[in-house]
Amino acid sequence: MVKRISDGIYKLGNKLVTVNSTPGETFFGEKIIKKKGVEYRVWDPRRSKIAAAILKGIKLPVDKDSVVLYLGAASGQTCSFLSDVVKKIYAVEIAPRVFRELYLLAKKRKNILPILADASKPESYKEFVPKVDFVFQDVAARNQLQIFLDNCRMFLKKNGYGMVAVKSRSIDVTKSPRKVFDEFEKGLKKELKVVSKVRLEPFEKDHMVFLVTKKR
Amino acid sequence: MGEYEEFMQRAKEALLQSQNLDSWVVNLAELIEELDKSFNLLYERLRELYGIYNPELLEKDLNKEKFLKEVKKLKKSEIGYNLSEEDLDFILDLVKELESLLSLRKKTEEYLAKVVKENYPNLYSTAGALITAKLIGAAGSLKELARKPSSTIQVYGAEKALFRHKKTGAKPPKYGYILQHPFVMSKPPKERGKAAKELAAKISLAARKDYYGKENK
Repeated sequence: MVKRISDGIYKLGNKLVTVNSTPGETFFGEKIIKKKGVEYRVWDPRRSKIAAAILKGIKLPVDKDSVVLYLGAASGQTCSFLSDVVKKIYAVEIAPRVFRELYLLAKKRKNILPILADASKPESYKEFVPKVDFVFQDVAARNQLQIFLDNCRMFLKKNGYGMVAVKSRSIDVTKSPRKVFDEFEKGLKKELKVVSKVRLEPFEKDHMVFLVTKKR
Repeated sequence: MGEYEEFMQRAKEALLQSQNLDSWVVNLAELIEELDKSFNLLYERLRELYGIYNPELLEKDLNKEKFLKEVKKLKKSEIGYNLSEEDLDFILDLVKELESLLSLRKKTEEYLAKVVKENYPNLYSTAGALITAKLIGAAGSLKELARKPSSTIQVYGAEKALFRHKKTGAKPPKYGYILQHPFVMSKPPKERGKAAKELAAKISLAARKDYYGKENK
């Protein structure tokens, strides 16, 4: 039974899947399910915070026409699933070691545009990246709020959405997660409107995902 | 050229720039550390195994090479457990592996020294190969190292103590990786702080010379 979650994202039984845009080819050892001639890739919520957020009930505001800015793409695992769903992804990653893998992935999937840059310095890639429909951030840095706000201000369309995964332990290990999340939300609200939020338990510990829009 | 091709081209250039000799040298130094760690782990196990057969050998204060040599003689002691031929063959196999680890470590060290001497001649003559590699690793690249003040270079490798100092006001560290340098190590403890300061100053000069200058000093 294939159940549609949103554009390009489905549920097969209890598994979250996307339609493989490069049939016959997988990138991270993810499982493949074939059904009625369509090849689906299984999206593991333990290895992707977006997948975890979707399974926890967040509605991902993207479709096949969306242009996405992805901050903290790492080796591109989550990116590869988004690339099954959306039109184009600008993927920013700072570490050369994992960027190598992202580059090789982008070679196979031409809707991923890799950028080796520091997301805390959006000026450095401002000239190549246009306004986007969706900004996603997963950087686990102390100043991730500032990074997210800066990028949203610079790149997010007026009616666009932003999503940010917060790992309370990389902001302050000594504070309780709830306190960290509350403070983060306060910071977000200064410039953006929080649409929904969800904790990622049991897939990730002490993580929270916020979905936001620009204030109108 | 389309947008995709432009991004790929830029990404490729950035990647090529990020992968340079610096990371090669840093990884060689890491390899040496890991070889040491693996050797020590397996060596300890060999001592335990062989000690069943000849406990007396453990009591003697032998260095690693000598100990391996003694083990190869397979001399049983009177209080040892009587192992069979097959058991002893197994011991010899393990000794062989350990000897090859030792020789690989030696080779790696010589090779690292050669690479560092050729490419960072001034750092090589002030800090030595291994410390040079570690400092480059801590700074991220030679370029970054050349831009660091010597007070930073002095405490690279002592980050834990440094941040403890900043956070709680505990005593600041006097030296990090550069403690391993004979110039610092050979001093009595009271003078090591000063020696480290002096050496760090020279290292920072050498790093600048190696990065910005061309010829040897």
